Amino acid sequence: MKIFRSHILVCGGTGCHSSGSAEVIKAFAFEVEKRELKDEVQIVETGCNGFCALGPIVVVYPEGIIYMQVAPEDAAEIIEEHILKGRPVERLLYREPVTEEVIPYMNDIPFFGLQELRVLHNRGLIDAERIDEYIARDGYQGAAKALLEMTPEGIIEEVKKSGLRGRGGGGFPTGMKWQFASQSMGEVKYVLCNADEGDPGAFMDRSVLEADPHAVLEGMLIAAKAIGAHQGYIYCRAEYPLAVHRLNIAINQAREYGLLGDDIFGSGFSFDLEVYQGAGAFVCGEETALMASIEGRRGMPRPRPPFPAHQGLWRRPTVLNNVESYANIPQIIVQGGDWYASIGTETSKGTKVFALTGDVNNIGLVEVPMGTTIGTIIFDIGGGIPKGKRFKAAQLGGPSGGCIPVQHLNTPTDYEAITQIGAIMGSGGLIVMDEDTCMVDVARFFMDFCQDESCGKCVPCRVGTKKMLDILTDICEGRGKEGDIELLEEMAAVIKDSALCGLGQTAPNPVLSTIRYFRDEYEAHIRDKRCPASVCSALFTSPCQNTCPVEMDVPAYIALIRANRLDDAYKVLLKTNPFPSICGRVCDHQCQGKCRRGQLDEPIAIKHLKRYITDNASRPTVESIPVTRRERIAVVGGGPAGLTAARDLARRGYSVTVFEELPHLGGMLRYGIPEYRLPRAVLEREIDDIRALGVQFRTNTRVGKDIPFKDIRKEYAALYLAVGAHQSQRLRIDGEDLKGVYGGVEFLRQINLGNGAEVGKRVAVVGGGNSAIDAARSALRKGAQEVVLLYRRTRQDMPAQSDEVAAAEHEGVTIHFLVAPLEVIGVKGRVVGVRCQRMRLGAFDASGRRRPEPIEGSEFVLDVDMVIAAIGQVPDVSFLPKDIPVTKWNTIEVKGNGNGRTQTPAEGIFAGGDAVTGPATVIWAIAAGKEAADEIDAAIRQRNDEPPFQRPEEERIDIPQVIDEEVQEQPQARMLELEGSERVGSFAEVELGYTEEEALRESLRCLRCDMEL
Amino acid sequence: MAGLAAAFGSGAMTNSLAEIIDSEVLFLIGTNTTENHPVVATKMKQAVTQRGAKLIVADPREIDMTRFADIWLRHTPGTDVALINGLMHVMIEEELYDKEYVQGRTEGFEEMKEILRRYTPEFVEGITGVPQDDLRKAARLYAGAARAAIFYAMGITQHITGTDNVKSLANLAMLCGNVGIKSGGVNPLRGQNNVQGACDLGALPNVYTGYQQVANEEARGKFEKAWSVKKLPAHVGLTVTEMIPAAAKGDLKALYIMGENPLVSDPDLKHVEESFANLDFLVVQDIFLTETAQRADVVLPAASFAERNGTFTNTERRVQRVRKGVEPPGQARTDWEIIADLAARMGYEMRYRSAEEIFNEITELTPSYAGISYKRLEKEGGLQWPCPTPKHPGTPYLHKDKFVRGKGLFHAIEFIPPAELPDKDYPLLLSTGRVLYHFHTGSMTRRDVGLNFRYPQGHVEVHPVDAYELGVEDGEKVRVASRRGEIEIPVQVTPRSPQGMVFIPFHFYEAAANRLTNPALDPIGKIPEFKVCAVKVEKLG
Amino acid sequence: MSNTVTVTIDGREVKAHKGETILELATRLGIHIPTLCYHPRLPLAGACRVCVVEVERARALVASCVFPIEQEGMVIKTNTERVLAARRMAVELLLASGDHNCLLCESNGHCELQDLVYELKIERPRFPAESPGHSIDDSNPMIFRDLNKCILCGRCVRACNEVQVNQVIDFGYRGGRTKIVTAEDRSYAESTCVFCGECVQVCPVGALVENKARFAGRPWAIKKVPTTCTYCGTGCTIDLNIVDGTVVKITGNEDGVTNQGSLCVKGRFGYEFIHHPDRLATPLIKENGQFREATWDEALDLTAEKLGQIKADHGPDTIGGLSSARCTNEENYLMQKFMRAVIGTNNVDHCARL
Repeated sequence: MKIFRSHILVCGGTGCHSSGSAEVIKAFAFEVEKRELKDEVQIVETGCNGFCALGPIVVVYPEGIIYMQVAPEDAAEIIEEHILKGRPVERLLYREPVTEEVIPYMNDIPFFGLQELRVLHNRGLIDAERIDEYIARDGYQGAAKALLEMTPEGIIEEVKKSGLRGRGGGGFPTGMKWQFASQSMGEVKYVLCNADEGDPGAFMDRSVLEADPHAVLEGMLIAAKAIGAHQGYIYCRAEYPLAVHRLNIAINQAREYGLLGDDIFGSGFSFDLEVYQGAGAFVCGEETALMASIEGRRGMPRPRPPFPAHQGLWRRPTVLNNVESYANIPQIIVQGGDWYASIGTETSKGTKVFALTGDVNNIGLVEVPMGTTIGTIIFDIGGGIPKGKRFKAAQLGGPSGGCIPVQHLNTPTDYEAITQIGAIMGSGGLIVMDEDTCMVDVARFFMDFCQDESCGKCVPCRVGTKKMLDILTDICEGRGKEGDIELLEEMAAVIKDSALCGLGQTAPNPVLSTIRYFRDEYEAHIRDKRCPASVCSALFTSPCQNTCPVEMDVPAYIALIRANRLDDAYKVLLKTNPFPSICGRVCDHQCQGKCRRGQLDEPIAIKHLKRYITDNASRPTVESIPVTRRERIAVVGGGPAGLTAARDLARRGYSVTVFEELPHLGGMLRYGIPEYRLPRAVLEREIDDIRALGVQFRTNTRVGKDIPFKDIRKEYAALYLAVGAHQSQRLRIDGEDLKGVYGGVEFLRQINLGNGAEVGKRVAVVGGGNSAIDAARSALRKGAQEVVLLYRRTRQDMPAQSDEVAAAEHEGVTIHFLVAPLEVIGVKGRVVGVRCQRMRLGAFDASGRRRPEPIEGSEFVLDVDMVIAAIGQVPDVSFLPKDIPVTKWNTIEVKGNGNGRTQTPAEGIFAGGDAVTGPATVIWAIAAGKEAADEIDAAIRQRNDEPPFQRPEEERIDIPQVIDEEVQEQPQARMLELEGSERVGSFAEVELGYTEEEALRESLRCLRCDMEL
Repeated sequence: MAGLAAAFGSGAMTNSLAEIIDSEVLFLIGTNTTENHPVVATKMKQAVTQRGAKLIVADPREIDMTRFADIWLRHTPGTDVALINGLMHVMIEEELYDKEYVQGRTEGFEEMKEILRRYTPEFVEGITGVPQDDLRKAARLYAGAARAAIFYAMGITQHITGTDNVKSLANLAMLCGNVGIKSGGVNPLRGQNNVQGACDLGALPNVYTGYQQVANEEARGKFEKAWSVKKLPAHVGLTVTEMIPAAAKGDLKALYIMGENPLVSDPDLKHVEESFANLDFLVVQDIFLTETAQRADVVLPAASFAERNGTFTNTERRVQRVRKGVEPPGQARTDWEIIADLAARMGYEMRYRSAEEIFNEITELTPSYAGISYKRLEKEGGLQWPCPTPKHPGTPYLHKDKFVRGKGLFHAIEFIPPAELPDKDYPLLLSTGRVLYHFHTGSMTRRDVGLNFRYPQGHVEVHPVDAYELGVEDGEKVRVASRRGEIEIPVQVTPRSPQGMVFIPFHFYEAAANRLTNPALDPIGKIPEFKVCAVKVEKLG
Repeated sequence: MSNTVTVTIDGREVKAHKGETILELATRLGIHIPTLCYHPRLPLAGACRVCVVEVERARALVASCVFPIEQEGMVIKTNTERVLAARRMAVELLLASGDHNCLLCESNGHCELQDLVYELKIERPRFPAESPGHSIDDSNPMIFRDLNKCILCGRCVRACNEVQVNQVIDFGYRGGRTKIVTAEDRSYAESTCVFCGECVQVCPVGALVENKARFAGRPWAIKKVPTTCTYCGTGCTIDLNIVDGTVVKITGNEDGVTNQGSLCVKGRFGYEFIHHPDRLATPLIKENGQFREATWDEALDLTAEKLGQIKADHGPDTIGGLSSARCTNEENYLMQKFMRAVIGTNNVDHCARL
């Protein structure tokens, strides 16, 4: 055999070809030829390497250096630099996305390092079209052993010992299956390989066939010996031309080498096989349908029994396994069943190959030991979710499977464990879905697939799936009705119970599992005609508007900026939001996360544009509204929820009084958010507008203390409790009561009250949310020399907005990740330090984040003189009378779920905002206030037998309908900010607002996805 | 029939239709089963597609059954004897035949073997055009089966060597021990619903019911007594194919025809017309004014099958009930009522109150029907003769353990070519037959909207090469002429019939194939050679 | 090995033949299990799921028509709420997946779907009925095909492919668009169909009906008279379907010994001749080359006289008689008796040779 100095391995599966690997191979061949390196360097086209996300992949041996996303024009550089000069080309090496660390060696990359290659042990290493390379890696040793040294019983025993279960999805023990077929009487038997991979998103079998076809042939040969078959068929879908091509090459080579045909290895045993190309009907993956198809009939399943092991192809005993099962066999025979069973779980042995696709960074093919958790596959191997989106669920098992939601990320890949949570192992297609996925739509998609692929034979599958699809489509398009979920559940149960074949029986699984875990999404679609993920386009006009809790008409005001009609734009803002200039500064702008433009380059800067309007348009004058109703309404709490409710109720003619305990109105807007983010003048302006409507305010008045609760109840027709969440959660560690330990919200309140809070020199802030960041930045401004933020998780897990975090770091805040305080150390009652412990990430918690676990012996002490605990807030509900119940989280209880979401169990008393939900955002508080106003008004009118409120005709604002025909990539317009040095010690607003030019340019980026073409 | 009777002692189909499904090999020769016996064909196709039976089809035309055949022997029309002899030659040469059976149950083997010596596959290929390999394969397949059944129809019998052909098939079946077993046998498929019954009931010139010979004195005596007739004629009468020439010659003066239409069905129609014109008196009893009835002196309106009671005997010897559902139109009467009335007017009383009474008389006089009664038929659905006693279950297959004639008789048969073969003047070979959508002379089926929708007119099948040479196109009307007459008929260009052969269905009076056919008869069966004559096809004007 | 096993069905402990299906056992015991795609003459399909029953330890319900009894101690329940729910759902779904308006359906009154809806007490389906919108195949005078009424039980497909082995129709398309099709989805007339009508015979609903019999009479008005077919020698048993003294259609008699219900195009559809206006209704006598209508007395007397005369003048052997392979045994017997006993000749034959 010829010895080469270097081997350059280029991946060459179907997926690789489509990302351009064939051109890369040509380029290398050209370079090698040109530099006369043909005797020193060999170019090898392998099968899929697995790391498809960054293909084409090139690996250079003997070093094992791996290059990603190699283009043909990179070939010259790799040859020149790496092969000739021995210097790896750094720009093509793998870069860890979080740490940005460069990793040159394949096995150091987590994607590869966490895998265990058994089925794929030849992947990326051999040329699939050369049998010699397969043989060189122990190929056909298993067959030789099976044919020459083992009895059929012995083979079956070994396979049984291995614990291998059908990798096609059924999970039936392979050894048992073989045993049945082996015991079946008959001269003629068949061995079939199911390569009709039909699940959307699945490509495991294709990759194996393309990368290592001989492993499958060898597995089938061993199976043939075990059951006494002499003929085999590989049923491969015609959509896999490369797999078929390589299989045929492999079969011909095996025949040439005497590994197929008569008297193999001189053992006297004969076996041959051929590839049968199916037309790609999904149902042909069902074994009886597959056999019907090979027999030349329409691929339709038949009832079992009789089972294929007794009456299969042409009614002869038949063993049918899938590609991956067979590919496991040779190694099981060579290395023994015990070796195979040495990894895995109690009931699921060995490894499993998964095709990892969807919303995950490292799309690719992975093989892991059974028992590896789903979370590990998605987050460690898969690299997590792209664009910082949240994980929502993973669909495992394709259209027959179910979804695995965030709370089950710790589920091990184990047939039983996965079944228990409502999914199935299936053939291993793992589709990751992020927060932008609508689970009703997912169910509809899979149901559409199943109904489309139904062979039409049995009624439950043919008609049942059609009718389920109709219902799901109705739900997605806003025609859902009460009872639909229950009907779906009932139909699903009957179809599972009565469909003819496995496909029909499993077709309802995606529906059942999405209802199981995402019932609220179904309800939102049916009751509120809302698609929370902004997917079901019939239910909203634009994703930004749909995402906004108060459904601000974003495209409209952006279009008006573009038309330079800022006054109209302001009117549009005020239609749905009493606090647009506040929201233009401090809203968490969920809308931007859903912006369609974000799929192209970056989302529109919606928040900045909103602020631009309020900064530059002339403010509409507000006139007082006459009281037309005799009912008076009391609002407790002058925060955004209470003020919004007051405004809306006043506009309906009610006399409204707002009671506020603190001296000023605004709630958290004033006492939580620092002034550098929200100048007080801006806040005042918008509160003044509400006052101008005629709403009365009574500040410095604590209900229950300054004025008895029962008096208010008597005096007012309805009460709205919107008292917010103004108490910090305690750290629950020793030393918490020392002087110098503050709660985050209390610390901020002190500052905002203008009480000149005393700030230490070295401050430790505990927490990872916006309050913690606000506290840290405020502390800096108040003169702290050093501010350290302690967070027990990692940066990705921080609930604070990332731009806020970045700003804090920019201003000099140091963040310690994976650190938790154990004790506040005090001397003479004063803080002198905080003892901390380092953490590492453990299993996933219900929110989908890894739970931090303490590292023993990692304690250390930080010298600080002030500790701010900003780990969360709770409402102060001590003022409430007994008949208004509170939850275990100390929030006010409401009836919830459509039927009076703001109504407490006490008649005439409503509640909302943070006091009900726990700490949330401004915009949610505004939404809560609007909802409360609606419900309070409705309740009063209902009590009076009055007709429901009719919204008065609003001023019609004509929105320009302009769409740019061509869209060019262009990033978001940045907003000018104060220099870091100017910020310290000052509470001046940091963000400076858009210029007209910037605003116009940004508005032009809007794709106007609200418009119907 | 004569052939089977000579070999086995009974001319009837040896086995039952229900046994087809269990046959290992089916050998179809001279039967276009899917078109002429569609429901029988379904059983054959089921056996092939669902039970793995092997199918050998011998037919010059690419009939539908060839789609299901493992081997298709496309022999030249009229060379059946050579083909069958060739098969037997291979079986003897390769010692595939059932020696024990031949030894124990048959006679005449050696004489036949002597003749077969000459019929080597090479020799047979020369006569039949069937490749030697195919012949050998077919021989091995048929001989290798434990249960092989032969089916044939008019393609075998309508030759001057019809009886020879049948005897040859009997030879073949006996050689492999296939007679007297379930799912085997030699099985003629009867073309009309009650051919078997008509034969069984003595509508033949040589026998009374149950094949009791008119020449046999004892039999005659029995019928004379039963019918209260002093003397019945002892000499064999004329067959239909003999009556027509007799009429032409003036030897036959009168003809009483019940439900037949020789003016479409008989060969050489021109001659038939002349013969009929020569009759002194013709009475036709039918349900329509057929081509024949139009020439009658008296026409008697009869009832159709839906308007009368009685029995039919099907091809597998099964006697089944016919039941009256509706009234005959106008004054039409059932045939038996008319005959009885006529007999009375001629001085012979036939007093029957019902068909059942006639049947009871039949069973008394006919041993093979003796055990059958309307009562049993009502209860049991149908009974296969021989059914000699009221307790007898009927006979699904004949010749079990013993042939009707004792030992099975082999006949040594030499190949004789057809009476008229294509030549310079008439270069094409014509074969006639039937199509799925029509029946016999078409008097019933050509009056049906559905059937005519599917098959409105006759045509001549011409092979594409012949069509090209003749310069005719599909659908074009041509003149087809033989030495006996000519017709004009549209062409259907199809490779179904081989080059050099044309095929015309005979149902269509306006383009009657039988104007062309050769009245040459098989000397024993008196069946004309419908399947081979020489014609020419000419482009019109 | 014993050929029977003891099983429990609906609480009754009974002996079952090994290998017989649950449906066969139930039928033997008089336990009613409704079916739809099942037909005793056809290969089993297990497709419609109407006959599902509960078998203890089985993961899902099983189709009783195909499920073989093999195991000792099997426990079968045919009538549980679970079973009924599945049955009812299957029928409801079928009802909603086609154009099932009984008022307008030729098969009203002998429709198995209709019977099931009634049996399962379905007053109103929960799913909106949706006609698939197939065009109606009225391409020929024999078979009227309205696939909007088709429930895709597949009986016709099995009848065509596995009983008649004509291989004309099969399932086509997939999912909700599934449809019984000929090659290339053509009409029957444009297909290789040979119009044996077996598909019509086994159709449980009104999707396939005899075209000529449409509007000729409701099922309950039909009187069926079993008889033997008038065409070839196979001897198929047919049922004359008679309404008011008229044969309106012919169906295969499922008890027919030779055909078990199967027929060919002639046997099933070639019956128009029975009531054809061309039928001879009076005796005719030819005078001067022209026929005139005559009375029976005239015609028969003339015949008797002529035959008697010829016999007397030329001898009985100058007279010939042709009997008929399409007349009954009784008539053939009488014809030959007439020729032999009355005329005195053996010149009697029929068309066996032609």
